[in-house]
Amino acid sequence: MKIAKPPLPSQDKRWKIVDAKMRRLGYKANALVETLHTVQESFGYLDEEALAFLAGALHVPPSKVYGVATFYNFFSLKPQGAHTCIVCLGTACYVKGADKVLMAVERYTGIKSGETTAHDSRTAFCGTKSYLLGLCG
Amino acid sequence: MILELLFAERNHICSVCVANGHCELQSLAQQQGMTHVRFAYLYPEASVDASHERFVIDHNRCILCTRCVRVCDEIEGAHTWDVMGRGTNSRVITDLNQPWSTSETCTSCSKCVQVCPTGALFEKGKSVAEMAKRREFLPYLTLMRGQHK
Repeated sequence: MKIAKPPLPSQDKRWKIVDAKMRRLGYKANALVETLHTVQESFGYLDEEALAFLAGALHVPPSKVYGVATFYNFFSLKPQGAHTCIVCLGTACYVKGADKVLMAVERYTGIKSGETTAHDSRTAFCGTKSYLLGLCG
Repeated sequence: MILELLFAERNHICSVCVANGHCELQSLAQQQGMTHVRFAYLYPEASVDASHERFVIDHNRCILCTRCVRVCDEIEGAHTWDVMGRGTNSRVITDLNQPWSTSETCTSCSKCVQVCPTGALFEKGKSVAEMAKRREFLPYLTLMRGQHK
């Protein structure tokens, strides 16, 4: 039985890129992470519409899509700022006072880590905590 | 120690819980003679979703055993439940982390409620210590589906 292809959510050209990716991977359920990557790269974040669309297109339960999208650090459910500040909180950096660096950044920008400043999108800033970037020494 | 960590991770207060006396976590703690928890409680901000017509999910009592996820996927076949997030931020979710009542995949079969070992999933209208779970259907259903339990 051939299952009808769900229509793209909007006329947005970026959906074509996503659809091409899914087609190349044969609309298989195990291509979920790969497809989420494509959506993340072309839209910058994953909104509810995108998640629901992927669930329908790849025949994966919506809860599973959401679970995968929230599990991996790379995926973001909120629009990201134009610039991202990453503060390494690995053990070596932490010993050298990374927590103070993070606090200073938070004080300077007035946001908590993981948030995005409320400026217009060009100057938007968002902070991220990270563990071990491998730049020690 | 694992039991104590489980208790410390969420807000388990047996005396006001619907599953008081019918809770597997509570029974295990009694069996092991647990008297107190050596770890600082995390007191996470966990919500209660009572939007469903018949059932309630209280994340404060969830121990993330994922039995609801498994029974929904493997027995009912709906896969309404899944786990989101990582570490202490993990939660069981229905569909796209939406209120249970708006879930399109949920069939309201109540299997998740019956297999939940604690009072995290319970039927509406049950008061303290009234939520006894009925699991008799499980062996029959697994047998009928030709699976090995």
